[in-house]
Amino acid sequence: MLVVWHAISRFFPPSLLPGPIPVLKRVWEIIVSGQFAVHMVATMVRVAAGFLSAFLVSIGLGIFMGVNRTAERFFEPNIVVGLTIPSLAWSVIALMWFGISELAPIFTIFIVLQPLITVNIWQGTKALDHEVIEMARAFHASRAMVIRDVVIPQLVPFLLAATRFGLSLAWKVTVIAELLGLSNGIGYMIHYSFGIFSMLDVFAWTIAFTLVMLALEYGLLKPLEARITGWRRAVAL
Amino acid sequence: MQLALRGIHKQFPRQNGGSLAVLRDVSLTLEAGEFCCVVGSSGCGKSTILNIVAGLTLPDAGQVLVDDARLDASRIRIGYVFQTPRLLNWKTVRENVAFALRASGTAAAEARARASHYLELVGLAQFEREFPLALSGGMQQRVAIARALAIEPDLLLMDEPFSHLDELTARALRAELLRIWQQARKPVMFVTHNALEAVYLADQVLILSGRPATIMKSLRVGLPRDREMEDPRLVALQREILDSLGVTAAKAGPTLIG
Repeated sequence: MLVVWHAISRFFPPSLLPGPIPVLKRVWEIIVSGQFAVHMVATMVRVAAGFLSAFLVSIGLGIFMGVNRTAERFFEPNIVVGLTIPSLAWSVIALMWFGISELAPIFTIFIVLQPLITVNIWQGTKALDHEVIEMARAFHASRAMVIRDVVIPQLVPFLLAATRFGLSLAWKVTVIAELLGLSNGIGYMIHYSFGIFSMLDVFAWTIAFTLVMLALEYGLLKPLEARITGWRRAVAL
Repeated sequence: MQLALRGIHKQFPRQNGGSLAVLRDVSLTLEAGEFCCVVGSSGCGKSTILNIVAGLTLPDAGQVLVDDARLDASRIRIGYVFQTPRLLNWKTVRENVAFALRASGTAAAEARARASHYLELVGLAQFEREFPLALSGGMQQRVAIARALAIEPDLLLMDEPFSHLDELTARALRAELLRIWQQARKPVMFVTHNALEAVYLADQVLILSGRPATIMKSLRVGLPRDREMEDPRLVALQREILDSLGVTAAKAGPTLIG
């Protein structure tokens, strides 16, 4: 990929498509200067707050919809509407409501993610294996035991999937909100680089940010998933 | 412990608003230490009887009596072996057995020790740290049997536990089940559609009619234990059961399925 990029970049002026070598150099510069850390932390805090609030609400709502027909019928249209509204629209609305504050991006992440995560957990709840729950009841397992040992382990794959795409969407949404009206964060810096028309900086910030995402995915999420769902890898004799 | 069902009726609501009568006036008695097989065609409500005994389903009418109602039926310990193993695939084999023990209030350390003991009894000692998906279907069903035995039940309920296994595995497990039952001498209620399996295992065979099911006939198998499945006396009894179920020789082979 780097080689192709390098080859193509030779045919364009650096102001349109800078080559990988100057870009990686600039990535290194923004990292050692400490600028990257400052803006990355700002973005991460927003993502963490928005994602966690959406995740917690969705777990409750998703399970409720999965076990209760009335709740399902009541909330389903809301979910469908929520899934349809573009995240850009929410960003603008949040900025107009909350002004230039931390609340705007966090609210945007929450409102965009919540229906998506809820759908996942709702479907996971509906897919629960009722035969093993009946087994647990036949052996007089308490409600707490049924939830802890029988229900939650079945929801784990759905929770992991929700975490993965929820996080990836959260980054994108945050960057949009930052680009529209905040004064720090990765999105702001990409916008700032656009303002001074430096393609080199646009590339550098985007790539540095992507590297952090990849590190999170392969360093944290994948190993966590492998650990929790290790029992699936067992091979029949 | 003696178990009796008296006049059990059960119907289930249907999608179209009507109801489906499944059990009609089912009465039976299971003496202490007796191995009782309930035989009937598929879908006739055999599993519903077990679920009512286990307290998973409430009857519309009738009673489940333990020792002539001197004991509360919901308080006795019941070991349930289902048609499929119904294991918790995210727990190891030993944790699966220990789960039933923990559910019935056994302390964690003792649950682990007893789980190991019962896994050894069904010949799975070396697999206790494996996850269920690493085991064959027959081995998984053994785990389910160990789980039901581990709680040292007052009554063992078995719902066609061998019907999903190949005949060789099923034979081995039947013989093993009898060996364990002869040691423990707890009553067993074993549901099957396999008439030969029923006469091989049982002291008493109850034959159910089609829906709504009622007990058509009760049969005593007076043959000594250490039976052979090919014993002509068992085959004759099997013939008798098939005749009562209305299966003629032309319609089914010697080992009727369904």
